[in-house]
Amino acid sequence: MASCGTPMLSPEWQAVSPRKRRGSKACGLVGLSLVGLLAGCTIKFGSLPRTDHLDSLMVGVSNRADVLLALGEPRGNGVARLTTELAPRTIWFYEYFESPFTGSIDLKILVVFFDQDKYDGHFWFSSVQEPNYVIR
Amino acid sequence: MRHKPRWTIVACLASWILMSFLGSGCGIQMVAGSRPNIDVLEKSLRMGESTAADVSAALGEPNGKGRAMLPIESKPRTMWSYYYEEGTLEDDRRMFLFVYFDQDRFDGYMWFSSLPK
Repeated sequence: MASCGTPMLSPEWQAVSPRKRRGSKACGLVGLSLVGLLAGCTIKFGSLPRTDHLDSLMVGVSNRADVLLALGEPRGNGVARLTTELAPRTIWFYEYFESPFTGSIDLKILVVFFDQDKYDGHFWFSSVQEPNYVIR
Repeated sequence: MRHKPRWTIVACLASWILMSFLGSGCGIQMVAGSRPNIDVLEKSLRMGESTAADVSAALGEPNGKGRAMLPIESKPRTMWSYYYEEGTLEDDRRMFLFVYFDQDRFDGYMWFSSLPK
């Protein structure tokens, strides 16, 4: 049985030409490298919502251009009719997705409300570990 | 008959699969839930009139059920949640839909989505 250190080759393997053996080893190394590469990879979609810029927005005063300037382009949109009395609000949707190949998934979601063209509020939640992450 | 050591066969297979997988734009497609038809919120359902059964018939069974009392509300309401997600290793997008009920009557909604229209 082969041990760690100098590998012992079976008689069948020794019968394979050195060139083919080198090819197989290279193939194996590429495979192992790719596996290692994927294991160390993190997939990311969207960009982190700039929740630290929300303080610059004023309800009923800031418009869509102000929100765009403060928060950037949204990744999606939506609509809210929260009660029968309340007029519909349009929504800009910001999201960031991060997942290492090890299985965990982290999300940061920001929802911004507009009443007509004016900024009307927001909410956000997140499981993303950001450096210097401060929740006020 | 010649036999290569088993690890080289496994590694070769792994590299071949990974290279074809990466080369093809990582053909994995992931889908979670089913996409709710938000058009029915304004076209088929009527706030204050449609029942939970009507909502269920129009949108399907929700992924979750809960209660909500937002600052704009005077009393807690029943809330149904719908979630849909689809993605590949190149992009991943999702939709959230929350439907509110006053007693058994459809009383509001909120949806937001990053999915293509």
